[in-house]
Amino acid sequence: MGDAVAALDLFQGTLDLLVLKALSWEPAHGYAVATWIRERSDEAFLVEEGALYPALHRLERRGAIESEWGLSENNRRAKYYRLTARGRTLLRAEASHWDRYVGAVGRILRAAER
Amino acid sequence: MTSWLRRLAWLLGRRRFEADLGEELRIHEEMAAEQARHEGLCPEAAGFAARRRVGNRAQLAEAARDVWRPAALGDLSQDVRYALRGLRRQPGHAAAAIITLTLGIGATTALFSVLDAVLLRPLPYPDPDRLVQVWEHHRPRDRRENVVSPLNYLVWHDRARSFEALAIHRSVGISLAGDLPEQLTGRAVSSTFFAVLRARPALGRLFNPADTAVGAPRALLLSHGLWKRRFGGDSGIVGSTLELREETARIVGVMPEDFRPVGDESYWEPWPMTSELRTRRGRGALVVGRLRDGVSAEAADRELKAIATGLELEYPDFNTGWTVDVVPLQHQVTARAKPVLLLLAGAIGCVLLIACANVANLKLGQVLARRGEIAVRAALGASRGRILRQMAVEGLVLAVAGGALGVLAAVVGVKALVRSELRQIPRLAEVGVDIRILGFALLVIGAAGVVFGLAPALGLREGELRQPLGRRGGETGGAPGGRRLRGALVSFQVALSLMLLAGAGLTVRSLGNLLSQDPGFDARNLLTMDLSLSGEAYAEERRIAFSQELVSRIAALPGVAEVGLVNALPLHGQPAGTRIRVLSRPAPPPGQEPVGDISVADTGYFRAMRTPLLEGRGFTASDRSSAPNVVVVNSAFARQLLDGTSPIGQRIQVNLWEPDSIVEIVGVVGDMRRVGLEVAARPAVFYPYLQQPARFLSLVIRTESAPEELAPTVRALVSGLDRQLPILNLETMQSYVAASTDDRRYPMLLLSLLAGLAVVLSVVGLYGVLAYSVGQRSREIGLRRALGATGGTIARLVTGEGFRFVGIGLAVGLVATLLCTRFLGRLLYGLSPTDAVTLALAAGGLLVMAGFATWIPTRRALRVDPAVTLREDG
Repeated sequence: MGDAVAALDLFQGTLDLLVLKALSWEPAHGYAVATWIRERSDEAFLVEEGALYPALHRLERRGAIESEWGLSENNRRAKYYRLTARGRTLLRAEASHWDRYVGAVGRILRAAER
Repeated sequence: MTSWLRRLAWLLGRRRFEADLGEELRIHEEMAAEQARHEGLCPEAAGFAARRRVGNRAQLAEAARDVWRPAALGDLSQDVRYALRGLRRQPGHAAAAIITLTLGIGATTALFSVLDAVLLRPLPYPDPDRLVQVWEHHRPRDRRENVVSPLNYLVWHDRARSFEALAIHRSVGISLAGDLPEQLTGRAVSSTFFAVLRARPALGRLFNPADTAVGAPRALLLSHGLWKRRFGGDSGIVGSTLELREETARIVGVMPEDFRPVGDESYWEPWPMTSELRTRRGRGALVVGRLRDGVSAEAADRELKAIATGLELEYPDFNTGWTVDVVPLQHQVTARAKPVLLLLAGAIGCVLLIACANVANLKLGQVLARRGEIAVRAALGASRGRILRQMAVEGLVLAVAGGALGVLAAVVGVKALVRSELRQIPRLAEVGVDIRILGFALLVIGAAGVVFGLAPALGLREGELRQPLGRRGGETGGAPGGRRLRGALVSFQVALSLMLLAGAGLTVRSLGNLLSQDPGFDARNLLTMDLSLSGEAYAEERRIAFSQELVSRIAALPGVAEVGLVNALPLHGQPAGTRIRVLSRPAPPPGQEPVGDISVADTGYFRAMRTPLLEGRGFTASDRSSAPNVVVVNSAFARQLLDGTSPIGQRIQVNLWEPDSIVEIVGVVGDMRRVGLEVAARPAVFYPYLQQPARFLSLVIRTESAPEELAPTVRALVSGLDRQLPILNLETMQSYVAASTDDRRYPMLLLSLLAGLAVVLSVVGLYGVLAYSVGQRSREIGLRRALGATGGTIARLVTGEGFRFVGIGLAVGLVATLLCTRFLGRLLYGLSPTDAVTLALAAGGLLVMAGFATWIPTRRALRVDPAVTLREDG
């Protein structure tokens, strides 16, 4: 498989945010979410199932996502997760919070250079 | 918020969730394996890689559970499981605690059920707080709760405005004919009776005016009990006829099961309020009323008292000195039972406290022994709050276990109590364990659980938690704070036990005093029987002939020493009471005439009862209707009416059968206690049976051996003379004497039981504390021994500690006892509440028991080998 760039560690809250984003287009099952995150991050984030499913459960407990059994691409049974209205609101809020966070950290880091 | 609801939903569907998760992970694994194959790995390596990535499935499941489980619940279930494990590890302790709690909580719940039904719950009639009972009250003699005269009732009925309805009722009896002749007691009731109580029949109808019309058959309403017992609950009974000895009656209905206004009535019949009643002066009936809306019992009382004052003027010879009391019915029914029930409630409360103190002691001992374990938990990060919570849960688990069993025991006990039909508890049939009582029990359980779960642990301060890890628990004494607290608990128990023991002792001695009271007759070897010679078949001459025949036949039986007849047996029958006028004395002012009991007895009565003849003569066969009218009086009569001068030859006038009849006193007999063993005899006048042949008789037969053995023979003899004659109450005189003390006997038994329980629990508690103390101090004892202390010193060490606790307890208990035994009130007889002998006996008894409790730990202490204990520490 892919090469040496060590996968970064994802903080718990950040993983929740990424999962919300992953589900923001269409419902997906757990494996698809992990694959999507891995691909979109260029292999930077290899989400272990030991982290993914607890994240999905946390979000479901908070009412941000809902789950339902359905049929996958190759007609196999799979549990699909879907963003709720509350989840969308949460995604917007968390994303904006993340932007501000990243912006602030970035400003400090660039300031040190100058 | 909704997150909580989702958690709850998870909790409820947990199994399905876990199954789903397992499947989901499997699918994930498959997809990952496929992906790996797709990317070129060989199948096994792909599978292996996938599985490695999926990781430990159990760990995942646990992580998921951690996300979903409500936080507190997780800890709580863990605490409960931990507590249960702890109990299993020490089954002895657990058993002791649970049994203690079962007894305490069970007894409390049962008693509360009784208290609730008897004292707290309203009577089973609509609007029961509007119901009152009306008594007559003789002011000069301060005789309250006197039965009522129909004449006065009719006047109240006419004049009073405070009542919506007023009713009068009296006791009556009928004899059922047939193969099983039976005598029944019932009530004759005025037409307003059922209106006052707002009662409806369960079957049939109430009385109507047609029932009392001339020529109509006697109408009867049956009680539920009679209907079930004698008529098998036959629902077709309404309208059917009933054969009585003298006539035929018609059953018009059956009353509901909980309708029992007086308590022992089997039937009701109408009592028409004819004008003739206005001439009948005797007092013998009960009156109940329903207050008009807006009128209070006090207002009705004032109104009737005013009317009574008027009656004193209108009928001075009959009503002088008489007034009226209006009493709420609820109070009437419960007043007599209330003090005893409250006393028992207090006693049971004490036992419950002692039980809880025992369990607290047990737990405290465990806490101190588990210091090490607690220290480890604290070191691992448990906060004091967490540890306290865990202990509270332990206490709660014990309380729930003991409480559940206790409630079960209470339900069974209450059912047994109701079935016993104990006379002394009014409204017994209404007692039952219901939701409210279960709620009360839960409250008690919860409080007990938290209290003795937490109490021991509260002493632990934050710093102390980690201490013992430093040394090997090697303090030389065990925490003195813990021992002091436990000792205080034991002293508390001892104090309460002394109170209960002294109380029980007082009631036992009172009963003993009462039973040794001379009743004025010899109750041993006396068989008694009631007969009712009613109806036309037993006209006056027939009664005389029959009774003489009966007496002579019974006297002829082998094993019979004496036979006699009386119309009202002491401690059983109710004699008539009326005014007596001594002719040689000036007439007392109206309202102050002396009264006495009037009875009828035959020639053999006093001999059979072994009541001494003090002066003059008894009755003889020549005292018959044609001869001069004579009477015999008792010595109370001589003392109170004649100031002790000889009554022989005096002539008196008695207003009972023939108002102006004058009789001469020919003899004086000893006093016989008639109402109860503790009530002194009233002046009594006895008429000879041949001159006043009463219809209702009690036969007394003095037997040479056990009276019960003669019963079947006597019964057969009476049936032989008249098969239709019902034989009532074939009992020994001893059973009536015993029954008359029932009021004292059952509280005495209960108090003694509770006191015994309390002492046992306290002794167990003391033993526990001392045993633990010796165990903790084994190193100290070894040290002392090594330094040369004798066995005596060691023994003094242990017993000194034990008796210090007991001594404090006795001192406190003594003070409490002196303050509280006055609440025994009526139960005391012949003793003061602070009787020194009883107190000394109780304290001595406790000391002896305490001695036993200290015996074993002392022996253990003496056997401590310094070589062993001093080495242990290394």
